[in-house]
Amino acid sequence: MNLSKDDDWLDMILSNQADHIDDDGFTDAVINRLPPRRLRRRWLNGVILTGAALVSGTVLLISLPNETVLYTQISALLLSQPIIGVGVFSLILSVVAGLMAGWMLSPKR
Amino acid sequence: MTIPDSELIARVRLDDDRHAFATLVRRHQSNVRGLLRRLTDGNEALADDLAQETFLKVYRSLTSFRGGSKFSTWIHRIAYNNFISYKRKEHITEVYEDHMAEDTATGSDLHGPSLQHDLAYAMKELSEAERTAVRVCCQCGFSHSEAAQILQLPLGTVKTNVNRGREKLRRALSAWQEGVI
Repeated sequence: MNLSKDDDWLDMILSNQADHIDDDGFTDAVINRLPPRRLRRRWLNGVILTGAALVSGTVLLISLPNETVLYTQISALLLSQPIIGVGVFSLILSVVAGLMAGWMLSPKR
Repeated sequence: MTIPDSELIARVRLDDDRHAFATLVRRHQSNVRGLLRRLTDGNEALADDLAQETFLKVYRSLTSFRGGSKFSTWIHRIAYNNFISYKRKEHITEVYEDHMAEDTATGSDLHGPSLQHDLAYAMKELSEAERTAVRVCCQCGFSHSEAAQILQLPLGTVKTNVNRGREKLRRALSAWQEGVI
């Protein structure tokens, strides 16, 4: 007996029953049974993100060795031209926050 | 353009996006209901109840889905676990014979109801493990490794059960072979 032919024959019979099942309101029934919507807490995400960025940015600045260009430049800017210094510091924080947001919102997380 | 499952899952996780979840349900409902109909021997009402429970569990557990397996495999594993829990709760040890006739009657016209009837009874002669493995692999079209994940069994066990089941079916239905090929 030809085994391959046997397999084809059996597969044909078995897979013959694998028809598509129409939705027919099934999805709606599932959605109607879902628990009430979660309260959106985007503002909380924003607060957490900003706080985390502030903390990590400050830690980053403090942990930089005194002699590094970044440290001296930012310190000098903050002392001499506070507005530009704060701007540069905010830019660094934004980059950190952006990286953190990318990590937090990653679908694979 | 079809939005991938991963994107829809992310939307449900982040924003509790019901539309995204409905898309996921619509996309996978046929296969999940098909598997459960086979496991319940054609009891459509019971299969659909179990399928609804399955998708509710999927919704609740979506945050724990890490993408280690395919999303469809993960859903089918939940569906299978749901079926096993139901069986344990109801103390069901045998197939639902009342629904077998209905199942065979709604079978495809290609081979006629008689072959479907014989197939249903040949399936009954298989052990439960063989029957489940044949249903998941041969009728639902999952690979052996996917079936192993769904049934939470070693790959070798699944392969053995499928081969044994197929061999028994081949023997039981051999009289039909001439007329089909």
